[in-house]
Formats: sequence, C-alpha cells, structure tokens
Amino acid sequence: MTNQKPDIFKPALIGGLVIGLLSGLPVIQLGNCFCCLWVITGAAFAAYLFSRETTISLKAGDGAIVGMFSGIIGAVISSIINLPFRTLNQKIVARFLEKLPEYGGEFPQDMNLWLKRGAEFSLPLFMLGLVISVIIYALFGALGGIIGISLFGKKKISPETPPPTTPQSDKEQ
Amino acid sequence: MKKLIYFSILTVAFLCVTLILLAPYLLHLKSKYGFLIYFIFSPLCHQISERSFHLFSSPLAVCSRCTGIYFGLLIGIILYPFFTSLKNLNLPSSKIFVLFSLPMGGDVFGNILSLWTSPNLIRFLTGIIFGIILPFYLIPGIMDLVRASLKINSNLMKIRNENKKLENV
Repeated sequence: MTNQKPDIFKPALIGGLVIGLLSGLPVIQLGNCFCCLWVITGAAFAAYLFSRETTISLKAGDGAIVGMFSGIIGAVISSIINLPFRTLNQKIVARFLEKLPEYGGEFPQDMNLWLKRGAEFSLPLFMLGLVISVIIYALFGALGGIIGISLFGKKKISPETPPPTTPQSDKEQ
Repeated sequence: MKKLIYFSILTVAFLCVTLILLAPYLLHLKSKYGFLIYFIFSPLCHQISERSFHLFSSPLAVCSRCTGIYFGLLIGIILYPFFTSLKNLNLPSSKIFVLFSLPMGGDVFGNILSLWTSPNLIRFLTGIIFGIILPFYLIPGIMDLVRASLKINSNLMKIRNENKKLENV
C-alpha cells in the first residue's frame, strides 16, 4: 500500500479478466441481461483492487477510468472467449428469431438472413460486434468503477483537497 | 463545459427512453427499424414478453424492470441539479447506494428463489428506485474524468510550448 496514486493497469486487467470470463462463457453470460451485471461487478472489483493499493483519497474520475478500462479489456476477452461457442450462440439467435413473431408483425426476410449470417463467423461482423461491446462495456464499466470507489473507497472524496498545513510549517512562514 | 457534459448525459438517457417506447410503435407500423431496436437492446435485457409492458399490443424494447431503471435514470438526471451542484464531484455515501438498491435486489432474489412472483408494476417501481440514484454516481464520475483529461491536455500543451520556446532560444 502506497500514499501515491497506484497504477491502474493491474486492477483494470484483473477486472477485465473477471468481466471477460463471466460475460464470455455460455449460460453464465446471461447475467449481463440484468443491466450488464457482470460488467458492473467486474468494474467494481477493479475499483476495489485499485483503492486497496493506496492510502490516498480516490476521486470519482479514478473509479470511472479504472472501470472503463476494465470494461474495454473485458469486451475484448469476452469476444475472444465467445468464438468457440458460436454454435451455441446460433441457438440463442434462433430463439430470438422464434420469439419475434410473439411481438406481432412480420419479420423482414432480409433481416432474417442478416441475423442468421451474424451467427456464422465473419471478420467484419466480429469487428462490428466488438466495437458495440467495447462502447457498452466501457459505459457500464465506468458506472461500476464509480460505484466501486463509493463502496470500497471509504475515504471522503473531494475535488480539490488543499494540502494540510502543519503548525511547524506555519511557524516557518 | 459542465453544462455541456450534463446535457449530453441527459440527451443519451432521453434517447434510450425514446427508443424503448418507439420500438412497439415502429413494429405496429411494420418498420424493420422496430426489430433493430429490439436487437440492439437484446444483450442488455432478457426481453421476456410476459415481464414487459405492452404498447400497440407489442412489448416495449426492454422488460418492466429495465424500463424502470431507464426511466429512473432519466428522472435522476433531471432531478440532479435540484439536489446538488454540477461543480460538486463528491460521491454520495455507499449506504445510500445500498439503500436504493435494496428494493430491487430483494425483489430479484425473491423471484429467483421462487419465494414470490412480482407483478410488472412492482418490477418497474423497484427499477425506478434503483435508476434514480445512478446519476448521482455517474455524473460526478464523468465530470471528474473529463476534468482530469482536460488538465492532462493543458499540462501537455504547456510542456510543448515550453519545449518550443527552448528550441527557439
């Protein structure tokens, strides 16, 4: 534990690993359907690790940045983990297609084909999915990081804390 | 700058709520953009029809609980300047977060453990309570993040200017 601001890389990486594993593995990833639960949890965990390494007060922005980076790392890891499970994901897309007629209306044929193609591997679609995941995970990660700092930071966070003046330094002046 | 950030966050939240409400209407008009909205929200919500409010005999883009969270988020953002200053970067106590999360957390666990099955209105209301508190963490966090990055940028500019001056000398 130091009295300086710690490096964000290590906690962000560990938080990102947690997010990536929980969001990438089949079935477990469904937890994200509940307001990106795993992303928020992983980012809050990263903020906890970040705050544990220092004695100084951490600001809301510190939580946001560590959470945002862990979200970005998590999005990349979960997209890579997801690759071997594409056949399983195809079933999820099929379930989505089956569910749509319940909503009423006819499902456009071109979009049906587009969604089915999305279940097969193609690099441009993978990249598009990755970009969308990175944006969503970064946003929810930032939120999780801020909540994590609020929960585990314990210290009072102020925007501009003036350095404490000791009686000795006052005398010197 | 602070007002710009605040109104950007407000616009994004308003857009989310509009899309949620617009999806069933577009479906009613047989527009494919309606399906696209459902597809965009599908990674964020289970979208189970029985657990969703209906408009034009079609469910909203997200379930009743998520609808509550997004509505709560929007209400919280609108209320934010009435409760605290945009200059204030202090986060509320963690106890407040736990207090506002308890109704939704309790309801979720009760439903998962099959202790009770909540009606959509209860899901919506507990979601609103949770959503209202989120901007009180999100807004100071984003404000502080932007402030810090602007500070780094201005420091870098100063260093560059000083280097240029030294080179000229």
